[in-house]
Amino acid sequence: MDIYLPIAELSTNLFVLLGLGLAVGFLSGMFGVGGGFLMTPLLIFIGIPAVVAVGTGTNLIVASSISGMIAHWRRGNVDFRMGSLLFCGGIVGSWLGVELFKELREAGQIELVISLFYVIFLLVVGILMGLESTRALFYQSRQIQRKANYHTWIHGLPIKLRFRQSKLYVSAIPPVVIGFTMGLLASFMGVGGGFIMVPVLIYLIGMPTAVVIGTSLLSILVISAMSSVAHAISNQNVDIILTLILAVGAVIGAQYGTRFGLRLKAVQLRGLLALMVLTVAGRLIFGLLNRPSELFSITVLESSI
Amino acid sequence: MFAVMIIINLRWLKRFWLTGLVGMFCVCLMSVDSKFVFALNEPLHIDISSKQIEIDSTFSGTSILLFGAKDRPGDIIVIFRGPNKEMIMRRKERKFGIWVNHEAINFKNVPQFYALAASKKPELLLENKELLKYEVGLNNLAFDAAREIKDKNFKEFKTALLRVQTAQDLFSSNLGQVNFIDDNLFRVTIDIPNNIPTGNYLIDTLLISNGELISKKITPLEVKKSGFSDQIWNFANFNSEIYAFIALFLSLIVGWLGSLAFRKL
Repeated sequence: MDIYLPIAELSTNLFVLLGLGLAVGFLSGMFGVGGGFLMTPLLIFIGIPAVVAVGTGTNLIVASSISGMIAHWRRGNVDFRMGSLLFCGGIVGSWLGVELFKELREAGQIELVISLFYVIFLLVVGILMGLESTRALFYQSRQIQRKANYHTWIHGLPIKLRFRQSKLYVSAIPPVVIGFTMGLLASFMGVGGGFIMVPVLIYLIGMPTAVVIGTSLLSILVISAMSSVAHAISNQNVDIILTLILAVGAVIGAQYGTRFGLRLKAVQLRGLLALMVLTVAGRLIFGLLNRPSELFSITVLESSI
Repeated sequence: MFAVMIIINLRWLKRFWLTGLVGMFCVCLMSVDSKFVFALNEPLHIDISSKQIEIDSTFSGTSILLFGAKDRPGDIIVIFRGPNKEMIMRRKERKFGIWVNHEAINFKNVPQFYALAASKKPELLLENKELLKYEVGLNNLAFDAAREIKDKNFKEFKTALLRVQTAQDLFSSNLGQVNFIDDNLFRVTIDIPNNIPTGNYLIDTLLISNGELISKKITPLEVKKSGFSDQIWNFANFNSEIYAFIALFLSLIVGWLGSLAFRKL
């Protein structure tokens, strides 16, 4: 059964979309990640215009992060001070990202930039995770313990604030900068970026693992909301029908993914995820390096009616 | 004053009603348009099965039936063409190992859709000059680059434009059939693909005899989105701010409802 997507302006099979939502939801539930980094490239692979895939992706992240954020909030695992610093930077970043996105779109280079961003992002994440999981396979017994007085150069920066929830006394600059970068990534790639933010918050700032997920979900929620609104206003590329179909699939898929994920070991999970991330990256690299069958493309200027 | 005129008029009508009527008719005709006079003995009559194509959420292409009658011998050419727009053609080139959009040419007044049907090969019916004039056939489409461009590039880009449009079923390179029911009645079926752009289309029907255009009829047709998807598109494009917040609100609700629905399990 075909369904016409009003913003993407094409007909797609409804069951393909539902299946895609289910699959990405399942994987994100299984691995405990947002799934935006898989959803956007897969949407592009099935023929949704890259611009619409990204805009709709940001909107979809809102749906997928809200429930997790509420759950963590109930358990008191959200550091609101840290979260608000992150999303203040993020709001500026995502707004700037959307404006840049618009410029690149008009110059006809946005597809290339999205692909490049994804290739770099997926390669880095995939390789790091792959290395970590293979290392963990060999040295399973050795546990890396965080020292009580964990200090890096980050802790020497000025404008220090006290974060009671995170039991930290650090500068406000790194969270704002991290948020800003996440905002840019969100607008360019249609991802939440929890993937990058969580390790950065743990290793660079030294946040306790208990609050890091809830806090990053809060900032992801606000950043993706901002990015979605900005995309819908500047680029008109948020397809609510597409969001609804994918979100329904993703919500259901995530439930089963979580249950399935509990049966696997963390190391195996990380290895699998790394493999998947690298496969998507490989497909994108192939697309960039392979000579396209048609070198020419047409853009219709809507203004000249 | 007015009443007096009407009374005089009535008296006139009573005495010379026939001459008066014909006279008035002639005056009317002359004052409207000289074209109108020819319409009286138009050798070609055309109608189409539908003046409007509506694209709704389940649209998967359709076809339009064009009927015609002609009262003198000759051949028929039917051109179905759609909203003219400015198009940017971009060509990918290899830079640092990856394929990126590099050179670009803007073309003005390119029909977004073009299909052709004829009772004989158009080259046999009309001179090249005439084919160009009436834009019969893809190679005779008159669109120009918006800027001055080197000849060689222009040709290459134009050929590519035709090729890409044809690959997307928006230009039809093969000739559609004109089916004659008898000597004077004919019928043409035009296939409309599911990716047809919205806008105003024109169907030109040409009657040709001995290499000359006898008559030309232009029938308009509108392709528009309809129903819910049309409303969404309009809303997203003309009320972007409100749409943005509705989209945000919807995804918040869906995410929240989803977590509620599954917490019970």
